[in-house]
Amino acid sequence: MEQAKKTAPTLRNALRREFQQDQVAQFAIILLLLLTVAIFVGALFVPKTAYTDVNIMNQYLPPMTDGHIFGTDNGGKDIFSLLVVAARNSLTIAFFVTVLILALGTIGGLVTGYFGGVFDLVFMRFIDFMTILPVMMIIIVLVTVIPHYNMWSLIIIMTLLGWFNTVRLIRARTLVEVNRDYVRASKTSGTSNLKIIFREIFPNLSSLIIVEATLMFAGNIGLETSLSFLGFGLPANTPSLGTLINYATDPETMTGKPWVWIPAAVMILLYTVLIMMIGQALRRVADQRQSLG
Amino acid sequence: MWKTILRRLLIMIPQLFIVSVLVFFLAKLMPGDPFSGKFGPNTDPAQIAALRKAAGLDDPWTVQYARWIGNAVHGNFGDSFQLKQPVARVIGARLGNTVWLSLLALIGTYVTAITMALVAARRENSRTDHALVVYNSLIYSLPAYLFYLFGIFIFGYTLGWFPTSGTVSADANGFFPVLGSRLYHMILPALIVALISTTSTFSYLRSGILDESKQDYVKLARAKGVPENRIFSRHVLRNAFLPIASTMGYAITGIFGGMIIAETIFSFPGIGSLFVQSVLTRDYPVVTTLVLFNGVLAVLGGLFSDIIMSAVDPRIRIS
Amino acid sequence: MSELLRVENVKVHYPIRSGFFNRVTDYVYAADGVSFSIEAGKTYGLIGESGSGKSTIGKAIVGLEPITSGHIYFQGVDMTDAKNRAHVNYNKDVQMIFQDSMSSLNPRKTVFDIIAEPLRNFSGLKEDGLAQEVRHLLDIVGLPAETMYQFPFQFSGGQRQRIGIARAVATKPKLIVADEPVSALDLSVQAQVLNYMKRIQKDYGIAFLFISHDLGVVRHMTENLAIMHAGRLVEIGSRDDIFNHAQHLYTKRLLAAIPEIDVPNRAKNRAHRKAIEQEFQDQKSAYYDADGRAFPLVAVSETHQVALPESMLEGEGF
Repeated sequence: MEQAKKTAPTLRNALRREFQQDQVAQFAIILLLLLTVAIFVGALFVPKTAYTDVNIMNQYLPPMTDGHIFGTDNGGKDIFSLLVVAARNSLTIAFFVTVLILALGTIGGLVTGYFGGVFDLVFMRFIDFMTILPVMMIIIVLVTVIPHYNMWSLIIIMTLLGWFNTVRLIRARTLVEVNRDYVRASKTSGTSNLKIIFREIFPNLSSLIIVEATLMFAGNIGLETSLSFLGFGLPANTPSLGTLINYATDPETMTGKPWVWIPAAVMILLYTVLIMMIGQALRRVADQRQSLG
Repeated sequence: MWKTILRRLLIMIPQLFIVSVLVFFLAKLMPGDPFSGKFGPNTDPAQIAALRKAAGLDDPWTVQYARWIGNAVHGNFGDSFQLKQPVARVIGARLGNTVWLSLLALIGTYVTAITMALVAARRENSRTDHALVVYNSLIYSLPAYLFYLFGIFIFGYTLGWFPTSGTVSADANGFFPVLGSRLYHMILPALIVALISTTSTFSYLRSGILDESKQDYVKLARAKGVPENRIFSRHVLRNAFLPIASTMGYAITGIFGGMIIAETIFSFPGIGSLFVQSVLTRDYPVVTTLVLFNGVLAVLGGLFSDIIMSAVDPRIRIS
Repeated sequence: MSELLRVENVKVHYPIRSGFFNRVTDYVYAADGVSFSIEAGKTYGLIGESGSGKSTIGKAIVGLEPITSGHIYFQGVDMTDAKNRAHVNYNKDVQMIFQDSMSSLNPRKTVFDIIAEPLRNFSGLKEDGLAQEVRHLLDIVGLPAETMYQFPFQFSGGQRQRIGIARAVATKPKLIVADEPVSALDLSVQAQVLNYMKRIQKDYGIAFLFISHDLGVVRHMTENLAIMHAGRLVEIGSRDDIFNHAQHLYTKRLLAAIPEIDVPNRAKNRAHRKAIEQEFQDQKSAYYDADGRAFPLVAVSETHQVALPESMLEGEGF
């Protein structure tokens, strides 16, 4: 009890405590940060020609030849440079999609859950309906038919077809919070609805949103690279981890020249596993805070 | 229960309508029309315009939609640009492959997931339990295509245990060799799909069993001396299976949708790989039909789930 | 004799949906035509079993429950419409204390922010003034000023409820609705919290509407009582009217249900309770109309109103 009295239950403190105790999560978050910084800083030093210029003479060089650490691909392009740029692109897309989905989903879920009524009824029927649609197929079709397609088109398409589950999750938790007396107390204290939604209820969902964000980030890396892998992700001149792995669809490359696609696959594996480790620690924090509130 | 089902069926009608309208507009977004590829660059533009008018492409969209949906109901989806055959026939030729593969994968998923959940829940917090939980969150987080690639890389090419493409080997003759060969071609993709699709079933069932085991009625049964196995099979499992039953419809459509990537990597001629090829070759009639097909399937899957739920849950069944 | 608040024929009905098209097939009559009035600075108890609609009435008064029909007048002005309430800062004058102290305090906010919330909205005080005012309010409910920057979970149930009281009195309201404020607390803490409320009520001259299922608790808190059953009031009166001259069958039954520690007369009390219960079952039909609803209230004395059918009134000889 004495211990509890000293530390406030702010999210930051709870997170710090959890990560101090959990060696695995600590390791994961440090490695993840280092890797991300390395990728984004490294990508600044990769000239655009490194992944656009074709050099047939250097085709399929094995690793560690002529200064190509991971070798080269069918166009003689340096795999290491490609990997850094591809990772940056994939992470950027996953980041933006995650942020946009969270913004849409959180605002939508909070507002519809808080006000309820006919709007909520119609809106949730709509969401229910959208969640059953074959999202992957629709994304692929949209990617191929949209004019002036670029990275931002992909981000918007992925966002617009990916926020339905977040709305549901946030709405469900909002419904629980709305029925707590502190919301009623805020109403009788003269606080406006918007302030109640964003200043009173929202902080109580913060840990849930953080857990959701990490898992969604990993999921979005997966979705974008899946699309790029199939050839429907990033435009041709913008490398993605998925396009690198796409080399493996050729049996010859898959078995004979694994250096072309394995690094990208390992990068995705590494990122997903690290995020998952962090996510586990975050979930524990969220569960504690759930029981506490 | 019949009221619930009837109401659910009524809800389905607007759902199907919206799906078809969505797909119709998606199709309108796609470039090209039934005459694409039939004309050379020297064809008179006036002649094309006349043909387009005759085909009704200048009609208002409501008329076009009505004609399109009317044809679709009669199984007429137009001709494939690439194969110059009716779309229905193109899809029909490959549908069977996907259905069998999905069925095999679905059975595999349920067998693995249920086994894992039973093992894990029986010994909560044991090392086995933790390992299974971690496994299931890993396969949920990692993108599926990595598993297919490493699977085909290791078991297909490196070890050579399974074929890496197609549905049947050319030298198989007679009923049983063909059947055997077909199964042999499906085992690796089905197995991998099954092994990486267990997460939701596993976690629903595991937490369901754990929740139910802590209920008072279980304590009562134990207190009055009902044997542990009987408590487990008669009381706990029966209730823990309820939520799983209700997700079955969605699971079917989910697996079907997941086949897009699996079939592409395994060069398996089903409708998933057909979809990817059709998009890449801009064969829009096939693309449109496949999206419509999957959309309708998803609606039916939702219906199926709700009907199962109303059939097994007494709270819905009785009211 | 200044009327502060008047509740006039208030009905709160919740629709029940069922059937094939999910149409509204029936209503739950949470409150079904309730009228009473509250005078400034006086204390009132609203008593009823759970589900009788007493909390619904309380919430309707503070504006948390939309009213199906009827009116609520505050100082003679119609406050039924939310727009009117917002216009005059109604909740500056009418505040509420909630039953569950844990859920009524936002776990993510400090005590300071919780108590300052109504002040920020209604008083126009700036940060310095707020801190001073919150310190003063904490002092009133007997909590040290250092607790200001702590979070709700660091307090005991009784302390939390005192924070809730401090919030309710922050804007110096004219009426506080207390919805079962102590029923979630340990018996030992109940008296303490009740005493704080009583003192604040006296010191500031606040009118109190004390909602409870427990006649024993209410007896010590309020001068006037209203008994509610199945969405309607069955009896209104002073403490003396209700405890010594109860007229309605339901009131008598409630009174008999107050637990007493009276060991020598245990058997007698028990027999009495049984007799009352028997009487209730036998005569229920006489005290309620064909639909099982209580009759309209009729005045039997200046302070005392009872929901009796006309036939019975004559017999009573008032």
